[in-house]
Amino acid sequence: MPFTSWLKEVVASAKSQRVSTLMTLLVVLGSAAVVLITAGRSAGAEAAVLADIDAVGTRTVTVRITTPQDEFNATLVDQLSTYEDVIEEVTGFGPIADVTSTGGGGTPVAMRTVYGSLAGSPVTPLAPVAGSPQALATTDAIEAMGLLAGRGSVVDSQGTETLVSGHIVLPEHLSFIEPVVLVPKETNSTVRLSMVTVVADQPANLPLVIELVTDSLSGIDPGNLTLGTSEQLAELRVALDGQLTRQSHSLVLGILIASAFAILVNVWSLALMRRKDFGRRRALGATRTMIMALMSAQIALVSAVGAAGGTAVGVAVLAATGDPLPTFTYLFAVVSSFIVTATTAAVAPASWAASRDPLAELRVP
Amino acid sequence: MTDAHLVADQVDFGYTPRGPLVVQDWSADFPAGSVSSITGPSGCGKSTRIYLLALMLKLRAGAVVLDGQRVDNLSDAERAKIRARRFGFVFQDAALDPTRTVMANVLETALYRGIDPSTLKSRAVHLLTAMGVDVPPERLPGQLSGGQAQRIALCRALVGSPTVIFADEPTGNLDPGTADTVLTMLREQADQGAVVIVITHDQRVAAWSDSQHILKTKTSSERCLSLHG
Repeated sequence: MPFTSWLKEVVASAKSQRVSTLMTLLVVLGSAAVVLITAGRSAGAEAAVLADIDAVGTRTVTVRITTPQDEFNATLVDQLSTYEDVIEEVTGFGPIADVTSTGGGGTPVAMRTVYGSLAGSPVTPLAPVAGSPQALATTDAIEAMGLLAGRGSVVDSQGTETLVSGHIVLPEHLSFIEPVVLVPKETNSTVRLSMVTVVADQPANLPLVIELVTDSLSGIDPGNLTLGTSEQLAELRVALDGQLTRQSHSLVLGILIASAFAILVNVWSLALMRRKDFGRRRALGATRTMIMALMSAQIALVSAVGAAGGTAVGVAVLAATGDPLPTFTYLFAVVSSFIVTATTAAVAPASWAASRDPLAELRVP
Repeated sequence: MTDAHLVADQVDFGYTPRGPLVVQDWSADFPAGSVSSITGPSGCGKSTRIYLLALMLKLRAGAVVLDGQRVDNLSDAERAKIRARRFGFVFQDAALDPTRTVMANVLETALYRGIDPSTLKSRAVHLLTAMGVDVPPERLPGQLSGGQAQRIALCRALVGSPTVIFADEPTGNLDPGTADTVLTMLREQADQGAVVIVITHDQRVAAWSDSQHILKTKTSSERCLSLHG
C-alpha cells in the first residue's frame, strides 16, 4: 500500500473520531506538560548545577614541570591526543617569557608557545610577518600591555620581537594563565614544554585519564612534576549526576502509568463504538494486522501531536517562571515516552478490534 | 475480469467448536457468469452460508473451493487478501462508514487491496452515475436515503471489479425502481463472468436468478435442509 494512502487513512480515522482523538490528545498534552513543569524543572536545575561544576574544570588534568627537561616536550601532546575515546583536548604550553609592548608603557605579560588543540580547535601556526612570529593575546594581556586596536609588536628580554595580530578567548579551565600572549606552534617538534593540560571527555573518565597521563610521564623524575586534577570535584559531579532528578522519576513513572490507563480506557471505548466498522473492514478484506496497525498508528500520531504540544506548553511555563529549561535530550525523551506509552496502551484494544467477527457485527436482526 | 468458479463441498459449520451444527453437509456449486439465489426462512443460516463462502468463518468440515483451489484452509491474511482482491460484498444494511464521504466509502476497498484509491476514482464515478446516485461525492452517508446508501454499497462492492459478488438482501429495503437498478447491475456483472450470489426473501428476485438454493426447515429439529432448484 502506498505510504501516503496509509497516512491519509490514519489521519482520516483520527479526524472522524473527534471525541476520542481530542480525549487522547488532551491526556497526553496535559501529562507531558505536567511532567515538564515538575520533573523537567528538576532536570533543568540539575543540568544547570552540573554545567556550573563542569565550567570550573571537573574534567581537567594539569601537569607542570618545575625544571624544564627534554623528555617533557611537545610530542607528549601528540601522544596523549591519540586517546580520543576518553580525552577531549590536549594543550601544551612552552616556558614563559615576559614581553612588553615595543611602543612603551603598559606592564609585562607572560608569552608562551602553545601546541595541540585549544577551545575545541587545533592550534594552527601563523605565518611570520617581516621575520617576526605572530601571536594571539587575551583581552587582559592586550589591556595590560596597552596595545592600541588590540594589536602591535611586543618584545622579550632578549630583544626578540613578536607581532600580536589577534585576540583569543581562553576556555574556563585555562583562565588561570591569564593574562597571556600565545604563539601557536606545530607539535612536530621536540621543544620543551612547561605545562600540559588534558581535558577528559566526561568527569567519570577523569581517573582513567590521570592514569594515562601518569603513564606517559614515566621517564620523568616525579619530583620535578606537579599534577593538578579536579578529581574531587569530578567525584562530586558523578555523585550529583541524577540525584536531583531521581526523586522525580517516580512521579514521571506515575504520570506515564496514569496516562496509559486513561488512553487504554479511551481507545477501548473507541474500539467498542467502532466494532461494526471493524467488522465491515474485515469483511471487505482488511487483515487483522492492518486493523491493528491502523489503530496503533492513529494513536501514535495523536499522541505525538499531544506530546509535542504538552512539551511546548511545559517549556513555555518554565521559561515564563524563569526556571532552567531541561536539555533537548530530556524533551525528546519525554515526547518519545508518551508516544511509546500511548501506542503500547492501544495494542490490546486494537487487537480486540482486529478480531471482530464480521458476521456478528454486521448481521441485522 | 477473469471467470471464477466457487464451490461449497460438504461443509459443516457450528458457531462453537463442540456446539450444534448450523450448517451440515452443505454442497453447492456457483459457476461463473451465473446469478444464484439462496432463500429460506429466517434463522436457517442463509447469511452464515455466504460468510462461509466469503472465507470469514472457519469450517468444521468440508471445503470451499475457488477456481479449483481449496481456499478455506488458508491463513487469515491470505483469506483477507482474497476477499479484498476477488470478492465484492453488499451487506444487509449497506454498512457504510458514517464518518466518511460517499466517494471515500466507495473507494474503501482500495486500501485493503494495497492500491492508491485515486486509481479507482474514475471507475467509482462511472459506477455512481450508472447506479443513478446523483448526490455530491463529498456528502456523508447520514444525509442519504436508504436506497441511495444501498446503491453506494453496491458501487463499493463493484469498484474493484470482483469476480465473486455476495449480496445479502440487496433489495430488501428498496423501492421497486431502485431494486431493479441494483438487480440489473448484478446481472451485468454476471454477464461479464462474475459469480453472483444473492440472499433474498423476495420470490421475485429468486425467480430472476439462474439457480436457486432453497433452505427448508425441518420442524422436528429446526435444522435446515438445502435443496437446489
